[in-house]
Amino acid sequence: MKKLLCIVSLAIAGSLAFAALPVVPAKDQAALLKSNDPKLAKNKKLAYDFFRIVLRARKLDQASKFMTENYMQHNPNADTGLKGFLAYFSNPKLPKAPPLADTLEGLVAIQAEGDFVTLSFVREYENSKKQKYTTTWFDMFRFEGDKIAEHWDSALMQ
Amino acid sequence: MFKATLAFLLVFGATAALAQEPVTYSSDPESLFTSKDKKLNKNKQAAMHIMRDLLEANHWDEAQNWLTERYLQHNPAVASGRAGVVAFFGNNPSRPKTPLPGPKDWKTRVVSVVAEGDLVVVGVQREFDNPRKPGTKYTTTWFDMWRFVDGKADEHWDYGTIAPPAPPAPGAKK
Repeated sequence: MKKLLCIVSLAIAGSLAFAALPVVPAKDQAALLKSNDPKLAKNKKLAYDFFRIVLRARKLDQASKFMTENYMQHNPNADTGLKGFLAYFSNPKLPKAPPLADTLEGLVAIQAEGDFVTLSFVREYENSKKQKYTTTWFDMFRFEGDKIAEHWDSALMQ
Repeated sequence: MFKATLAFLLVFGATAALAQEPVTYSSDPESLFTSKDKKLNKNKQAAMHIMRDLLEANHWDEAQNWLTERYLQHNPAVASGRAGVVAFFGNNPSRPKTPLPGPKDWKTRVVSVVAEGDLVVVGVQREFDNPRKPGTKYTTTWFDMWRFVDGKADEHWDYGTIAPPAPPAPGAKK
């Protein structure tokens, strides 16, 4: 028992001494949206606004402005297509959507290349000792023209 | 009754037709780690060496070629620093060193590589047991992001998690 306690305390001391760095959001979101390539700047802004307006504030009446009808959904919990997206986000069991904000809370970075845009966000969870820690969530979109045609994220099936 | 059956059929039909689109991956992953932009190409190539040489083939003795010494770590389960990563993966008996795979023989299922500025994000397909349909699988996407300095990764982010609070044991005092 003493040995076990010793191992546990060593492990705790070890994890404290070598803990990973917290994930922190970017300070200047406007800077993240810049690009020397006008197409990439446009795609980043569209992905950012889609996230802000449709995903976060859930203004579903604006979804078709940003998304293709055939929106390919790779999140395993939602059905594919614009229809599947609208059905998923119309679920009355979802928590109430926050009001529309000018910025994306928790945004870490955005990258655009070719037809792809990735966004990363701070996520905060609790470990087994109920201590808070941070990790990084990713969403990726593929554009067809000015609309989002495909989405990937790391969701596990619920 | 007829109405109920019809409604059931409609709902069932719709569910069967829709669902998630499976995540697909490249049969030629090395082609994704290139760019006409010289700097992006260099960063993507370094990301390729991390994915292929280190994470897939476990050539951790070459880690100093692709990771900086201070390798800043945001995966909450791993310590910062190259030495820690090398110790973690390099001494793992379940990860033996293997020859580098050919360009089309990767086991790693690369979905996407997106680079901008100093950052590269790599998406990889992951397959899990389907909890809704036992005996079948579903797919999702894992991402790693690195920031590069002079062709070496200096910082890493992913969706690593730590075990959450355990539910109270049955009959445990509150």
